[in-house]
Amino acid sequence: MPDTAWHIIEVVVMLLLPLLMAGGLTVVERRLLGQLQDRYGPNRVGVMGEMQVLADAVKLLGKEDWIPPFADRPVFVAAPAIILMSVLASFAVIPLTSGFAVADLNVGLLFFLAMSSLGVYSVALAGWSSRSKYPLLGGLRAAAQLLGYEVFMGMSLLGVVMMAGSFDLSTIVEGQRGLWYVGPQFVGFVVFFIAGLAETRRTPFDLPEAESELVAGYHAEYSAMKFGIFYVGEYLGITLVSALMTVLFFGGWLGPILPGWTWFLLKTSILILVVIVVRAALPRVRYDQLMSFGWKVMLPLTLINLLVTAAVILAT
Amino acid sequence: MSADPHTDTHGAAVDTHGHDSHGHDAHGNGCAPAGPKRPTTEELIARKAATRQEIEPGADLMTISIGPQHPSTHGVYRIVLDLDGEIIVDGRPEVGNLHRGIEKLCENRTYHQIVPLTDRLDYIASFAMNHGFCEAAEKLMGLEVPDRGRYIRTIAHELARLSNHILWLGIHVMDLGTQTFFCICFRDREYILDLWEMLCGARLTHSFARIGGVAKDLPDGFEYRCRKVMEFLPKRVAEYERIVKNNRIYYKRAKGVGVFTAEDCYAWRVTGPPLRSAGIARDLRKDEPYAAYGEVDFDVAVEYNADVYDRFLVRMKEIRESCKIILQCLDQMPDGDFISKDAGHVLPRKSEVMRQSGAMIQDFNQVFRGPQAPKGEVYRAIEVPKGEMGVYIRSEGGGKPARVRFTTPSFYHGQALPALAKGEMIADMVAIFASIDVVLGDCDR
Amino acid sequence: MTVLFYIAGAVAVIATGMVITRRKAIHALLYLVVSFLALALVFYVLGAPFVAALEVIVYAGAIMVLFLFALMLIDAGRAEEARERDWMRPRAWIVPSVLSAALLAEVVYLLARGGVPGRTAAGAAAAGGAAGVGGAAGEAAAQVKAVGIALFGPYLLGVELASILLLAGLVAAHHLTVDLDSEDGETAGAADSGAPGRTRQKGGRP
Repeated sequence: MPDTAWHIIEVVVMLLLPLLMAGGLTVVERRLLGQLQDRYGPNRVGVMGEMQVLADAVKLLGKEDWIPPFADRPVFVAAPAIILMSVLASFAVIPLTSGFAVADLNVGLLFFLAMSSLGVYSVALAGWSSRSKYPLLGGLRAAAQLLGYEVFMGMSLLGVVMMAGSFDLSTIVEGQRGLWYVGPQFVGFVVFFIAGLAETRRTPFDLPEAESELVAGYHAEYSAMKFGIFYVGEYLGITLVSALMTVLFFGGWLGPILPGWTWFLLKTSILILVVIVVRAALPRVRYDQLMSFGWKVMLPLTLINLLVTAAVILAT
Repeated sequence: MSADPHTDTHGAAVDTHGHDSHGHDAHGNGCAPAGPKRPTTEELIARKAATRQEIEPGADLMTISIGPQHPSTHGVYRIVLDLDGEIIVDGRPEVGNLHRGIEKLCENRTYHQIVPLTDRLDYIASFAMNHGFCEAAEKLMGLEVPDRGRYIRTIAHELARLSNHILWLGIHVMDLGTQTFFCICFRDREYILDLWEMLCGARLTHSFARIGGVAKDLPDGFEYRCRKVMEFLPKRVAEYERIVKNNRIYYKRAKGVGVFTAEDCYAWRVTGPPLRSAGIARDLRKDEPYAAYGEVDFDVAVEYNADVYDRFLVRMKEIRESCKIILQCLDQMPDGDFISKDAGHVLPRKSEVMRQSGAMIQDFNQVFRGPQAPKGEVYRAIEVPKGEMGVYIRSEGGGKPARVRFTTPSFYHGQALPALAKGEMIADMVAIFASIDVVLGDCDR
Repeated sequence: MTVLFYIAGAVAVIATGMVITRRKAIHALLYLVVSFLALALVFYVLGAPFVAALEVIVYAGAIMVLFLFALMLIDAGRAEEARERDWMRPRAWIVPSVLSAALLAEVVYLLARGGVPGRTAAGAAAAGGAAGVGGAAGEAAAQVKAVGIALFGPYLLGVELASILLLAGLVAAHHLTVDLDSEDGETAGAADSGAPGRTRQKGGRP
């Protein structure tokens, strides 16, 4: 029975923690971008603007939830739900600390990849079901982009899997005692970072919602909390990718003195901040550049990385 | 960490920068004779053909309306695009959404009253618009502007150019997706606006030029602050160039995109930086000097690749040249009147109106009857930041013009957009549209 | 576990049924995705998490997205819907229904006899670990390895033949979509400009 109770605690924590982080992230990002851009950012609600997320949520909930009459209603409604579910489900396999994960799945990494591949539907269907031109273009871009970068994302992780000899995230973390995989798997990390940016549709890969070209891209027709869910979904995605990078390349909960979960959260937060700084620094790439970069640079890079890793593992 | 993916390709980027730009050092005067390899017209045309995708006839097209309310149309410009996938097959620009009938309004105003109206043409560089109109009116009336007035006008015009180009840079890069750079540009544009505030009290719509000179003399302390800013801006420009040029993504988005050869420019009457980036050193400040441009030393910024990237380079050079011009004007600033003494055509100083009967009568005449212009028509073109601005005035005598016509660069640049963007991708259109620098107030009038 | 298996199986069957009855292609596609997901769950319950994950990643996550991509480009309008409706007349249902009914009868008969090999495996997996998840943990790592060894051992010839087939398909697709004239122009352009030449756009054009 305590087992069940413990499990429920795990589920609640892994459900609320990402949501809280994603919510906080909206404010942190805006504040940090403000600081980086020589302006304030939201600083009125609460002491330092940290309650802005509540204000935003209240505003979004209070708005009219408008579904365009020309939209494909069931798909239009389902699309935001898919992104939230797929991302939240992925958190189930993330080990917060030793033995603390909702599902200590032996194919945890594959589960994450499976869920992230389902996330594509959300964006593509949102674009399609709006039955409007800008969202359609955004949806098309998203489908091609996410599908392509998923390939490198998966392959960049295989080096880590080879070194750890497991798809199990806890085993992978345990395998990093002594040396984090970011060292030997640096290429894999870089590729995963880039692919992660592309998967979460962050600058410089925010083509599906490129505001200067497609206005808001795939969610142009969404309003109120449906839009909010896409928004939260994006931040959840960032949190997820950062958490996964922590687990795979930065030794997860491993660290001296402090308890494991603080190390995990600390490393994840730092990676999230890096993602935000990237947004502040880079312009957006063009669609064909994105594609050629993916297939002509990233793919060979991951393949070479895989070959070298395999060779080294075989040799030792 | 995030820049890692670009480091492996970075070497190539730096190489290309090295040989195609000479504005790399902070104080480079930008016109080193032994510069880059200049492409010939044939090469440019070949390059244009290479970067643009040909469209199979009968392809399934998607018609999409961009604007009038779109984040990157810089106002209420609208273009209806035919897209094949993401490639632009054709476009039909639509202007007039910001039409305020300024030319018609001018027919019911005295010449003095028209000056504030011209602010509303290109509100980013409003002094340049004031200046153009005043030059034309002075040509019509045969007025001579005193030396000090001409020098102040030159300074003001270059300040307008600086504020325009810096704003342009920020918006151009923001259209490509970087907000931060936009904020950096606005931070630096603030110094220019502060100078404007000193000069005439306004930050956006200056109305600083008057027929026969300028509205006010340089205020106390202006020269000192202006010098400070002008010495400091080239360093900032070097920083901009460092940020933008070293950005591999920007380079890829801008280099070779939107090639528009000199012939194309002539065909579409595209002037200003886009024309100069196609290798044509046409600059009315040099070719038909007005104000004090004949008496200062500056170079016409020219680049040769005719693409978005070179338009950026040209504007960066122009910022440096503007700083040089302003510093020279401050050095050579003559004493004397800043506005003509011609009582028949010029507004008197306000301080004198209340004290001297002659000035009071002059003021009454000028305000109620307007400057008495002879019959006839004039055309005067000047180089404003966006290109060539022409003012045509037809007068039938009296204080009001019979017809005023502005030929503003934005209108022509806006109409050339389909030709510029045909065959490019929709994301390029945004970059191209920003690179030709259109302001809708200027376009629609 | 057995209950989960049957629920997932039922979902798969119902979703697949919906796939063939939907008029809008995208809706049908979504049901197909659901069906794949249910199938993945079935695999998982049967004690093959690796196959389950691959099912989701490859079929639901990749292939179906490509279908979706194609459908978005085509955008079947009302005419298409009407045609679909035309095909869905009751008469068209008779023969397929009879055939599938025969298959269904066979399956039910086999299940009733209890002689399906798969079922015993499912039962074993379900019985093997009360936690289910933990029970499968040990064998999964071995399973991945086993799949790999099987693919590159006894079935090497099959794998190679399949990859040759895929390669041929790839070359053919490239040949069909890229017209050779423009490709020449592209290489010439890239050569003379010296700048990073624009590559031909992938995937964006139908």
